[in-house]
Amino acid sequence: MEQVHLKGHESEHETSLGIPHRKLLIWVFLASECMFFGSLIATYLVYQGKSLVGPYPHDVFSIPITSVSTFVLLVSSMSMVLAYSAISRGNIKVFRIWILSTAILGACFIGFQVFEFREFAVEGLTPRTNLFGTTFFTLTGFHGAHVTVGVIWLLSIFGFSFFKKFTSADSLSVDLVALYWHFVDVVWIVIFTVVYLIGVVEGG
Amino acid sequence: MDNRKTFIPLSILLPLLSALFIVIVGGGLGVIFMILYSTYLHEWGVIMLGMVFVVGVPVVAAIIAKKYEKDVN
Repeated sequence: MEQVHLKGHESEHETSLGIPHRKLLIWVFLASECMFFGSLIATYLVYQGKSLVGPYPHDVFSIPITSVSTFVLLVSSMSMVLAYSAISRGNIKVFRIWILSTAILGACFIGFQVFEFREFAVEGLTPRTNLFGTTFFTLTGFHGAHVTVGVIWLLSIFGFSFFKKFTSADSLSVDLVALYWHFVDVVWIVIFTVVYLIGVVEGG
Repeated sequence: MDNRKTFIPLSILLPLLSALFIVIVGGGLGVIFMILYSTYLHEWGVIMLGMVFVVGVPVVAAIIAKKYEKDVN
């Protein structure tokens, strides 16, 4: 088995709060992301039902398909937890398997989004069509961009694990990407509920 | 410092390769979904392939991981 050097996070410089600087930074970053997505969701809700021309949410949304893509993202979060668990136990091979699994599921979610955006365009919904199209594509497009960044981050860590020995600092890196990935997952749950489910029920 | 120098090209190369992976896998899957949607299966084709990923990827990962699970220090 390959050697993994894990000593916890004791070698990291800690803030006065008792957590490493990088971990505090990711929490502050995620807080700013909450405000970013909060304003995009609020914008969507403010303009909900105010489109003068179609297509409307109930004309284009396919809840069964989007539910499957939501499951893909939820399962990827479970996979991420198992990757972090493996690196915490010092098992680099198992870590690689689960982090690659997380990245594949993330790429699968992007595949769903590519398909969905194309189908919406075929049905006449583009960012220029109406207020629904503008707010919907802005919100889900930015979320898709965040998933893309997350997959790049996951695959980069996966790649780095082949080129250098893992230290406590690398264990923290996995912790940081896990926090980011779970955040992206939680944001999607909110988007799925607010945009898709409520959108279809209200018909706006 | 030497260590840092060694990893600078990797820190550029790996994200680029990762982006390429997303274009190929994400874009490729998107095209496959479109093809399945245009067949008689319609949205059921997309749902079935999606469910294959939801179930298949973690199951395959778990089977492979089980093989290496005993390697823990």
